[in-house]
Amino acid sequence: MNTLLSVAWFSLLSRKKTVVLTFLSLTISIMVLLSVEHIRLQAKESFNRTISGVDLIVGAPSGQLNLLLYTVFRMGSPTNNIDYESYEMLRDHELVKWAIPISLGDSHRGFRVMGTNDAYFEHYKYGNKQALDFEDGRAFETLFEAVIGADVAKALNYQVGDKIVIAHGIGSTSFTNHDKAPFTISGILSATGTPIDKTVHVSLPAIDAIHLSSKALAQVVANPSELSPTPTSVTGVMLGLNSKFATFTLQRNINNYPDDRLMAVLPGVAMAELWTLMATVENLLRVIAALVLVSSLIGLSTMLLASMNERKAEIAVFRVLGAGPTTILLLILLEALILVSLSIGAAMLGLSLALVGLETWLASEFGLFLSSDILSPELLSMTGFVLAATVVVSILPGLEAYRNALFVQLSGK
Amino acid sequence: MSVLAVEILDVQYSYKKQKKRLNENNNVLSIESWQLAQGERVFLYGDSGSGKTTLLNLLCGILQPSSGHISLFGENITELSNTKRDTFRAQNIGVVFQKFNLIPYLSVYKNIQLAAYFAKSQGSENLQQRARNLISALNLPSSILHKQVAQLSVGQQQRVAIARALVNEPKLLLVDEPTSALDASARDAFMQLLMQMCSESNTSLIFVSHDTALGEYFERKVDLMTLNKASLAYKQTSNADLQKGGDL
Repeated sequence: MNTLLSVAWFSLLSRKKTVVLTFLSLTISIMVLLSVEHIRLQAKESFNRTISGVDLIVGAPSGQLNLLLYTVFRMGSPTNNIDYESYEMLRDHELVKWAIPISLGDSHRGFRVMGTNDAYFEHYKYGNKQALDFEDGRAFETLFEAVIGADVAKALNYQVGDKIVIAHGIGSTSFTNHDKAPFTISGILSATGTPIDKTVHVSLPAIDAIHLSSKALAQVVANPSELSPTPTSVTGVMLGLNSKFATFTLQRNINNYPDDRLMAVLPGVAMAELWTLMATVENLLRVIAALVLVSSLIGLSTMLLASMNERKAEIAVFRVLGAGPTTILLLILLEALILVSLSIGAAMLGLSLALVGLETWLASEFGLFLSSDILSPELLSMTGFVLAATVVVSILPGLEAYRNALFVQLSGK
Repeated sequence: MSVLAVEILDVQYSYKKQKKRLNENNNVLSIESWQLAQGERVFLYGDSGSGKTTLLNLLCGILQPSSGHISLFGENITELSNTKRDTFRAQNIGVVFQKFNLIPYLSVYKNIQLAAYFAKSQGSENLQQRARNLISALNLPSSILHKQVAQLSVGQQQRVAIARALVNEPKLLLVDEPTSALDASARDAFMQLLMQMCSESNTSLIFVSHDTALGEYFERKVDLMTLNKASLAYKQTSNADLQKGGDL
């Protein structure tokens, strides 16, 4: 076997030009396949780690996807707010262990601003029930203090103590900058790999304060502790319950709450619904990647088949030395497998390097947090599949070689 | 009496495509009886079309006769399975062609090793020594072992081909026009070496060529035109055709 392997290897070396081109084509297509699979797995994982331990999300009635998107992923815009009293009602409800109010709608240089309170830093969990953690500084204590996510700090190069201005609306260039309400950064959160990293957190009253008339705001700025406005509404509330068994009862009660129009959704159910939406795109990408791979495997088969004519004399020599037609077929398969294995190796190396090199860019541009460890069981089984496909497509040139070997004659010419 | 090296009995060979025509003369090769003793060296000569190549292919078991049987050293190779025949060839027969004897992309040593691999007679240190001995016996520098085949001259390649053919100590050596690519002086040197190597190891040799001048190295010479009844028949019919053409 060793001998055959080295023969196959030298045979490939002797046809450098076509072999290198085939190798490149295979490497690129395997890299596409592995990238798609890796990004898919990582996206699913980072998606699922966004929220943990929240039993119910409450907001104004819209769709459960919509509510999930803006409360958890800070995407889209809230349609309606709910009364602040409803939040207080939920917070004080006997079934509720903790409640995190969320108020959205403003931005700071493209990053969403979220109004909340201490409960957020205390109870919000992500990933495997990990709590939020401060990289630097502390939670906001006064009206004009803000806590920023790790990406915000990195992208805008902010440090604790820096002053920032929060704009109304969610664009990165807003026409009505709240210039007179400068916030001081009190803390920076550790990176979580979730949308929290891209959020600027302020207190609930602060959200209301920045929407005051400029005269009123000036007064508040001058004397924040006494004149801080009472919040009138919030966008949503995340709830943790004393007992999971109460979830459905409470959900029904909230949906039928007479004093405000409320809707409660189960995050797990909403996440699953969201993921089925993504599954279509994901499958489309996988099909495209598979097609790219198939086309370059056909290229491999063509390369081997085209070489068969010039290799007739060589096959005759093998036959004379006592190699059976099966050995010749095996030799062709080995050549294909060596080439594809090398391509898989190169593709994995290239992908790892690309992931390491592009890590920060992907995170800041797309919010993609991709691990550069690509040796997941899914990817390994994918390479197994690629090798199996290689055997299938090399059958054709292999059989051609087998036929040649059967009918070859020692003509010596 | 010892076992014969080669024994051919009633062997006929015709290409499958030609079988459809119900003509007695569609045989390419037809030999009633022919023997070669062990250690004997024979010169087979004949022009192209005399069935030289077919006979060689039959002898080394790459072609199967349409009828009759061929025995090598008492083993009826026509009755062996394909795999066994391939192994038998690897272990007992050395073959040298006119040209293209070696795998061009492998080193000389790898080529020799490959022959040992298929004969299942590897034993790496032993093999290295054997290869070195053969190479020096063939008046080649031992540095040649690690050269690429493509770097060698034609004469060197032919000598390496002999070394490769002899590495498994075959009982029978089949040689097909090995000197046609060599010039006169190289040819004489090559022939002397070949004869010397064969007599030293008591290897039976079948040497095929159209060049009757090479017959001087052999005691036994056979004209394929007379041995192969099919070739004679072929000649006669084509002569008849020619005469007809002349009449018109």
